[in-house]
Amino acid sequence: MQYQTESWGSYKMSNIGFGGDVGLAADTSLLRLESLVAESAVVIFSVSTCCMCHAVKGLFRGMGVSPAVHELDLHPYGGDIQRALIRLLGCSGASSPGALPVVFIGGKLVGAMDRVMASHINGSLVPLLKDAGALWL
Amino acid sequence: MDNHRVIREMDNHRVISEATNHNDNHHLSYSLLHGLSNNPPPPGFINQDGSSCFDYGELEEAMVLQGVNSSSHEAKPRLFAGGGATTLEMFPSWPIRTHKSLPTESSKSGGESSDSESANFSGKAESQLPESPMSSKQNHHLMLQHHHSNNMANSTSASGLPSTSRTLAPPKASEDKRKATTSGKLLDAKTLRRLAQNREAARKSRLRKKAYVQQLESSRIKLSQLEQELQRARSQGMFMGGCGPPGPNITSGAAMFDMEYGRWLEDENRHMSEIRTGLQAHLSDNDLRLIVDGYIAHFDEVFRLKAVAAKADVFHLIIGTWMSPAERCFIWMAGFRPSDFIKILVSQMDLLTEQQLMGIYSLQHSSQQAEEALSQGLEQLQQSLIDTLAASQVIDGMQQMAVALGKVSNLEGFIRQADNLRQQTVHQLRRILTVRQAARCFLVIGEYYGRLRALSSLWLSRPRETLISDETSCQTTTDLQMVQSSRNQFSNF
Repeated sequence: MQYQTESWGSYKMSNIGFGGDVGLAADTSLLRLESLVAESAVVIFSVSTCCMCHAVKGLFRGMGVSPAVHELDLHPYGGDIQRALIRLLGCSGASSPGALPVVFIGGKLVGAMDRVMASHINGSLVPLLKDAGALWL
Repeated sequence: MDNHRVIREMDNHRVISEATNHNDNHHLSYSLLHGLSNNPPPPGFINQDGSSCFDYGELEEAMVLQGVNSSSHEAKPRLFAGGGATTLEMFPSWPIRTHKSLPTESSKSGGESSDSESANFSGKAESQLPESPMSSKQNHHLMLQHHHSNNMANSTSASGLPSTSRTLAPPKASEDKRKATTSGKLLDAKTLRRLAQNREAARKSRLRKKAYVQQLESSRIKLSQLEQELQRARSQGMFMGGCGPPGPNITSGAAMFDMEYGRWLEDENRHMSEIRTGLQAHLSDNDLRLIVDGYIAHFDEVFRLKAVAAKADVFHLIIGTWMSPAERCFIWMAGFRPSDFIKILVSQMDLLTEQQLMGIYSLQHSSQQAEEALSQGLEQLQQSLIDTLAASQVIDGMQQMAVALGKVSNLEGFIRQADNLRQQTVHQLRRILTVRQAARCFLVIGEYYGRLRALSSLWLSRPRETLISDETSCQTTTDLQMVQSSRNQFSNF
């Protein structure tokens, strides 16, 4: 099932100012990201050695959700995707530790760990999961 | 040989006589001290190492052998309270030489015990020893020197001694006469038995005195240590709730946080009373809303403080010395468990609509899931650290440490997420409940933690036995308690 990712259009627009080559690279990495995100209901970008990523995976599995996990340190285009994510999230540093994990639900960006936690506490996470078909009942 | 022992004995008995209520020894020793100090014995007789003590019994033997009538104790003080002439008569073979001067310090082990002791001392001395010749300062100093060499204790000043010595006026005429009449030896079975008993008593007194002095020394050291810690804590800002004083290696960030958390606790009490009076006064919803929003802002403030502290010294937050012991008992990731808030509430909240009840229970559920996820993450961190540090084959120690440091740096992220969880829980509660309900809810939670902190204080100051006997058991006592039990120790003697 493919998920809608039209909200990304605005992101793409704002990143064009980087210059020709970079813009092109940004485009391709964003496209790659898009395709990955559209594949599953819940997509988590993580690093295999990161403990916070382990925590977020545990959170979703504990809720009965089976997310699609992409370990960027083991992924062939991991660096690209990470850069694209950072641009998407608006982080300043290229290798900011707070960047990962990043969670997408139903093709839409939820955010890093603090956003995921906040949405779970305020009760918005479960409806989102249900809408995306990741959670039944 | 007897002579230096005389001096030693006088020290001993003046010190412990009050404690043992041994009136005979007391009077005699005081007067002996005065009498002999008038005519200082040769330096060789002064025992500088203070290790050997002599028998009072032997002293009495000596006096008996000199022909003293030992049946009346009244006679004894007068005999020896004389001036130089009387003492010369007693020990005729000794040349009179000035005693080697020791640094004069007003210190005696007995004097530091309590002022009441010296008061008793002066009272007894005054009433029954009016003829003491002690008026010269030199004698006073000699006595103190004897004490110094005897006990090697540098403690509080003996305020009682100087006052007593000056109050006694010395008429000498009657003593000389009485002294002159005694000659020849008097020894009978009763006397011998009494001498033996006195020896025994003297020995026991000596042992008691030794033990007492040792206890005093150790208590003094402990007290000075505690005072130092207290001083340090006060300079860094003392916190409430019965928290212990900070250790020696506290970082500046940690000290800063402790101080600011102390202030936050004061604010907390203020907010609590504000909410309480607001509810009791049945304020309007709008007024109450202001109070409740103010309380939530106050809560946001502590999370901000913790975020700063986590950057500076995350271990200090995790270990939680800034919390009261009872709170620390239930610590989770440098703070309270968000699901605990719900636990506290559930028993107290009533009059909730169905929707509200659903909201509370789902909040409890989601907070528990989030806590579980973070705990798992932290476990993974520990496992990762074990893998790094517990490697048997260490090729490059520095590399290993660098990797480990990198992993430890993740702790700050976990504490931040835990605080974020707490903050979100508080905000969600505010959203679910009405203003009045929220006010009551925060009051319940605030009072619970306040009582938990009070419980910690009570626990720490609960009545215990003597300070020394508790050395073997572990203890984290407050300063006040230590000082109180130390004071009890002194009064027991």
